[in-house]
Amino acid sequence: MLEIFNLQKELVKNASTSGYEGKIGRAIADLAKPFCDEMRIDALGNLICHIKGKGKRIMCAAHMDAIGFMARYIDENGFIYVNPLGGHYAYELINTRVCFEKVSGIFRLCKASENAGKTGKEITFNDIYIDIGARTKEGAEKLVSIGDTAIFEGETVMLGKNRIMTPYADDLSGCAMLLRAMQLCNSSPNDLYFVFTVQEELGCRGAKTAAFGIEPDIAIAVDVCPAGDCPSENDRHNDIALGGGPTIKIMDSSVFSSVGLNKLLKSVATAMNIKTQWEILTGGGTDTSEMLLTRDGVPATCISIPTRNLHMPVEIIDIRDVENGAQLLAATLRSKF
Amino acid sequence: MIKLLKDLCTLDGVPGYEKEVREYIAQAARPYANEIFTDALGSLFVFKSGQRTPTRPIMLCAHMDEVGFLVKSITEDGMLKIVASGGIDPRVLIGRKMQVGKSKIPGIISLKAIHLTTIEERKKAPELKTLYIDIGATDKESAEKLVRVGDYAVFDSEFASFGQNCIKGKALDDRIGCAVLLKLLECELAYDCWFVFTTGEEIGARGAMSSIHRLNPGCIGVVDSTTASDVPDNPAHLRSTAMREGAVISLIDSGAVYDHTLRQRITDAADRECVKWQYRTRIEGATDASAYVYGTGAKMFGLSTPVRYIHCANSVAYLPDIAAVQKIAALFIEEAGGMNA
Repeated sequence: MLEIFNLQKELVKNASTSGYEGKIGRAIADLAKPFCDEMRIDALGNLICHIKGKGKRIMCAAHMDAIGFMARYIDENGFIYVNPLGGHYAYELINTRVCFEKVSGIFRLCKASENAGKTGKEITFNDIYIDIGARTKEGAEKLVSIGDTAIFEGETVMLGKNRIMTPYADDLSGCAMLLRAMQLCNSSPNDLYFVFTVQEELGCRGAKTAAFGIEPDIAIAVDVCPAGDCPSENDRHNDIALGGGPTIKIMDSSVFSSVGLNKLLKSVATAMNIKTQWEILTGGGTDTSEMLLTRDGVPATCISIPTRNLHMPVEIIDIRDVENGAQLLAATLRSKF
Repeated sequence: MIKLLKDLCTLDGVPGYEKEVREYIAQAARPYANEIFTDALGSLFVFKSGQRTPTRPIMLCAHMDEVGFLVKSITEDGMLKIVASGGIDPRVLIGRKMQVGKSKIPGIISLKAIHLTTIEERKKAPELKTLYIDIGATDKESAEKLVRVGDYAVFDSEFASFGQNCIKGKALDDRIGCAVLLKLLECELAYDCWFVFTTGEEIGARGAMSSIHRLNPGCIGVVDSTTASDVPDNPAHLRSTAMREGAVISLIDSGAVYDHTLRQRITDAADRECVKWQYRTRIEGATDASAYVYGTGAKMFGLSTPVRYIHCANSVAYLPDIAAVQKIAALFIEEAGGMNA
C-alpha cells in the first residue's frame, strides 16, 4: 500500500519547477506504472496515465509542478537575482533557503532596499537576491547559469501523529492522492485518465492542453486549498480545518463546480463514512476551471487538501485528509454514471 | 533586407486593421508558397514544403499588428480623443506627428505651452485620457468629414538607417519578425513549415490563438521584437536584453515557458555556427507564445530582436542582431523538424 508520508517525501526529493517538470514526471511515472494500462507524456510534458474501461471517460488531474525561481542575473560579486516561477511574495522569502541543482543558497534583502525602508509588498524581486556563498561572478557561474531554476529547500517531517510539514504539499500531496487513488482503482467500469499536469502555477496551462487532447466526459482536479484554522486578526477567512476531511470545491475565483458532480461526491462520501468539507474560496484557481471550459464544456470539480502556509516551504497538512480524499476519489471513479 | 524593413515599417496595422500589412506580405510570399490563405481573424497562413515532412506540423509566426490608437470621440472644437490599442506609455506621445485612418490624415499630439502650465502640472506625466490629436480642423463638423469614430491612428515616423548599422522607425515590433519570415521563405527549407503572420498580438495574442488551434503544431517558433534595456537609466541587474548582443532567446515570460530541450538544441546549433545570441532574462511581457496552450499543446521557442524604445514612434534596432535572428529562425526549422521527424 502506498503510504502518504513516504510518498510525499519521495516526491519532494524530485520536486521540479513549473516548465521544467522532467524529473518529477519521471519519478511519478515510475510510481504509477504498476497501476495503469498505458502512459504517455504530451508536448508540454503532462504525464497521462490511462486505466482502460468502457464507461464514462473521466479525467483526474493533479499538478506536478512546484513554484520556484529562475536565475536571471548574476552580479560581479556572485549574488543571484531571480524571476519568480509562480505566486510568491518577495518579502516572505527573505532568509528562506532554496537550492539550485548544484548548490544551496539563501534569499537576502538588498541593503539599499532595507535602508530605503521598504517593507511588505514594496519589496519586489528587484530587492532580493540569493547568496550561494560565491565570491565572484565567475565563481557563481560555475554552479549556476542564467536560466537555471531553484526550489525551496526543506524536509518533510511528521508533526505529531497525523500532520506533516513539508515544502510542496501544493501539489505533490495532490499527486500522492492521485497515485493512491490509482492504486485503489485497479479496475473500473469507467475509462480513467490520471493526469499529472504541468505549469499549473503559471496559469493552469498543462491541464488545458491535456483536457483538449483527452476530451473527457467528466473532470476532477486534486489540489490544495487554504485552511482557515490559523490565527488571524480578523475573522477566519473560511471554516476549512486540517483533519476535517478533504474538501469539495463549490467555487473559487475561476470556477463554479458542477453541482451534480458535487452531489455525487458527497453521497459517495456519506456512504463510505468519509468526512468532507465544502470549499468556497473568493480567490485562487486550479486546473478545474481549464478542464471545465474544455471544448464544449465538461462537468468538473475539485477535491482539495486543506493546507496551512500555502506557497511557503513549510506547508502543513493532515495526511488523513489525503488518504480519505484518495478513498473518496477512487470510490467515485468506480461508480456507474 | 533594409528595403523590405522600410516597406513593412511604413505600412500601418493597428490590431484589427492589419490589411495593408497582410496584403503586402501575401504578395511577397506568394511566389514561394505551396499554400496561402487568411483566416477569420485576419492571420495570414503560408505553407512551404521542405526536404522532409515532420510528424507534427511546425510553425513559425510573427505578428503583423503594431501598437496604435483608435479614435474614441471628436470634441466640439474638432480634436480627436483616443484610446490605446496595445501598451503605450503616454509620456512618449507628446509632440508626436500622427496619421489617422486609411487616408492618413496628418495630426499632432501635444500639450499646452509651458507658459500656461504650473510647476505642479509639469511634474506629472499626462494621462492618455487628457491627450488628443489635433488634425487642424476648425470644428467637429469639419473634422468628421475626414475622420470617423473608430478610425485608427498611428505614429507618423520616417524609417531611416543611422549610426553604425542601426535602423529607426515605428512598428519595428514586429515588422522585423515579418521581414525575417519573408526572407526565410525565399530559402530552401529542411522541413515543411507553416509561416503564420498573426493579428492582434499587441492586445493579447489573439490571432495566434486561432492559428495554433487550426494547425495544432508540435513546435512553434515565435519571432518577435523585445525590450532592449541597455540604456543609461536602467541598472545592470534590471536589464533584460541588450542591443548588439545578438538574437534574443526566451526562457520564460508572463505568457509562456519555452521548451528547454528545443532551446538547448537550437542554442547548441547556434554556438556551432557562431551565431551571436543572448537570453531574455526578465519575466515581464508576453508574446504570441502565450497561445501555446491551444490545441494539444506545443513546444515553444521564443526568438526576438532586441529593440530599444519599443512601442514608441522611433524604435531602434541593430542590423546584425536581425541577421542573427534570421539565422536562428532557420535553425529552428531544422531542430524542431528533427524533434518531430
